[in-house]
Amino acid sequence: MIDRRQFVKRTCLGGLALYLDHWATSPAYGQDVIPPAPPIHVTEPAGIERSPLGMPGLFPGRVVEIADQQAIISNRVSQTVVQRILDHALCELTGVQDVRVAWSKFVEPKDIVGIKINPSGAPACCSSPEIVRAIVAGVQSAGVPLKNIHVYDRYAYEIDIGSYQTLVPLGVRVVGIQDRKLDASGYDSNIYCEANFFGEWETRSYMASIVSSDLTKIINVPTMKDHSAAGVTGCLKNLGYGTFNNVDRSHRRPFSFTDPLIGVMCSVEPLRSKAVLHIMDGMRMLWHGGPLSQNPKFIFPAGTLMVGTDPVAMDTIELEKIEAKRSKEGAPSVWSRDPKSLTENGGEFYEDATKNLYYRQPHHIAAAGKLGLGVSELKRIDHRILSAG
Amino acid sequence: MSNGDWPTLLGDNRRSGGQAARPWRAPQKSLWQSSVEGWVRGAPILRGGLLYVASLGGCLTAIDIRTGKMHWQFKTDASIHSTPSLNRKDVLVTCDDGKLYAIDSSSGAKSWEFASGAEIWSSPIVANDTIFFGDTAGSMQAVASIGHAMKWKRDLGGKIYATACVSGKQLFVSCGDANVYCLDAISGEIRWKAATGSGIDCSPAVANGSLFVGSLDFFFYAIDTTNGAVRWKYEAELGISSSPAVSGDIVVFGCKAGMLRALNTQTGKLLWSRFLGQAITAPPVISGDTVWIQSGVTHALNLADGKVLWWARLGYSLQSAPVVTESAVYLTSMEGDVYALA
Repeated sequence: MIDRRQFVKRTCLGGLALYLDHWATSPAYGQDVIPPAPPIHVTEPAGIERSPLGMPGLFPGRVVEIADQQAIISNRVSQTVVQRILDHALCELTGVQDVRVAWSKFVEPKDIVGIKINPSGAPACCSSPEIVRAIVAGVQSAGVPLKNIHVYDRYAYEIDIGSYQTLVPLGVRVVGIQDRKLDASGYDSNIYCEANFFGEWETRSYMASIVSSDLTKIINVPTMKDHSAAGVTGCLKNLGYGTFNNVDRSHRRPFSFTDPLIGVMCSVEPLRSKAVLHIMDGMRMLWHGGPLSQNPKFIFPAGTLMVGTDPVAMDTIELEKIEAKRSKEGAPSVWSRDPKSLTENGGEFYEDATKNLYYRQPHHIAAAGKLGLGVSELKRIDHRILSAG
Repeated sequence: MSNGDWPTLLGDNRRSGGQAARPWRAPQKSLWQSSVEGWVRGAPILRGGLLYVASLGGCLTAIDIRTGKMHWQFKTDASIHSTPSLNRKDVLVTCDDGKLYAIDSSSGAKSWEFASGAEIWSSPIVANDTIFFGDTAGSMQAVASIGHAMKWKRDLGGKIYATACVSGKQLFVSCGDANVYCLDAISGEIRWKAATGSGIDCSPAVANGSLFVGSLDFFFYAIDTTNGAVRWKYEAELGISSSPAVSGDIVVFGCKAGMLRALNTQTGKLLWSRFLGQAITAPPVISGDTVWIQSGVTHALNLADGKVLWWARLGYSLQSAPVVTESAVYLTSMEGDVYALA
């Protein structure tokens, strides 16, 4: 029973420590105007033995990337192509020939598997239902019954806009953790991150009960997107901010404490141990206006998938890709600290790639690396780019 | 079909909710504002001075339209995603607990219930003394409106989230397996099915021998009701979840890219389109010469040319539709607010 568990507190002085570190490693922070983050206190279950499958998982530092021009045509994702390239990438990641054996490295028949989608940005740019279906097929091939596969995210209404309920196979349950912004009933009151960023009245963010209690394994399906506060939203942001409530309090224009809060949240047990695989949906890459933009001029049909167990390595590669695309399109770097790029006008931000609402915090990825969640140094990342063949 | 029938979502092809057409007149003021327990996903319906609103908080609430005050509330144990329907003196509502409830419309007392087994998001519809609904386990069911016994149950190939539509002895069902099914309303046998390119979660409408339905494959279809052949199809920018409304030879629907369109029912030719700024997933309602739609902002548009006649930043909703009457317009928002405008 949940009330019989023991819980411990730890404090991430990481806020300050991680800043000191990236001041040393990132020239952009030499002129940083952002105040240091406050300490973040974590209360989590005691005595959990960290799973070897948990982040950074079975293959630290390894990222498998595969793209296929046929994967997205006329803004429609091909189920056939997605299934094929996902199987190919998963076999490469695990070093096996049989895709069922590959899936069996992450899930077993007794598991309750959660597929953590990213429906924010629906309908224009969100986790593709075709990829979700391909994952369901893979998990099922490893012996997990359909009734034990749950597709979930925090906001039911965003799932609704994406029509995920209709598009997943019969038997798979779709769960929106909360209907309302302030609905805390789907959260575990014993597991939380506590920090006071801007003097907000509620200083705690609680872990979703489906993560703390119901699921035994999580497969994370972020989308490849720019993020106005975090720099990019990828594996870490989708998992951390999609598991805890009350997270948008970490940014208040123009400042954001997504660094280090995203990484801290991902380090909290049992989330850390349960997240065993990350499949990044780059069918549509949103290179500006994230996470919610519907503006087609910023959505590039990249037709890409990335697969790995190390969310830090994957987000590091994602950051490189978003930066490259922004540079090609003439948009400023997500590392930019130019106050002239800031705007208070959301409409301007959604139309003009030179404008932003916050000082973005892409260093949240490296900060998560410092917490042991993965590898952020590019030269240490085993980045394998596959031909779609 | 008897006068008491409620054969499709919101009662008829215009999605009018059983209300008579209202000559165009812009709302000028708020008569009252109220709220219900929990968020609201479906649309309200109106009869006899009571507005019925179902909520994700599991409540069916009857509101007195003269005062905006709650007349009664019926509480279930699970969320209600669907829009209620009417059957004789009862309000019918389906629920995530897998039950169909019939609630006395004047007292709020439960008349009877029918347990289906799986979550139900589609609205019940009524024709020829039979109530039809689909569930998320992929079954279409027919229940006698008198006696409440199951008449038949038919398993289809995907989840059913959309409300079915009855025309004569034909029952049309949109399904998550990308097919539109035509079932025999008497026996439940499959007469034909028509394939689209993706799942379908909007409710079809039937007019002049054609079935109109949008798919998540981005296409809007006109399908021959006799054999399932596609008469024409129209490509939108994104998927279509907005259930169409039909009036005369005009069919109106929205798509997730935020475009509201009117097409000629015979040819599929575009008559007009209007970008409304946000994804449209709710059904439009046609009242007289006016189209009403909720998509972040509530809009009223001229049916003939799509010109925006009126809008208000009220009633943000995914699936709700206004109730338009001669004397007032009633709106619900996703957050559970209820407005009466006159």
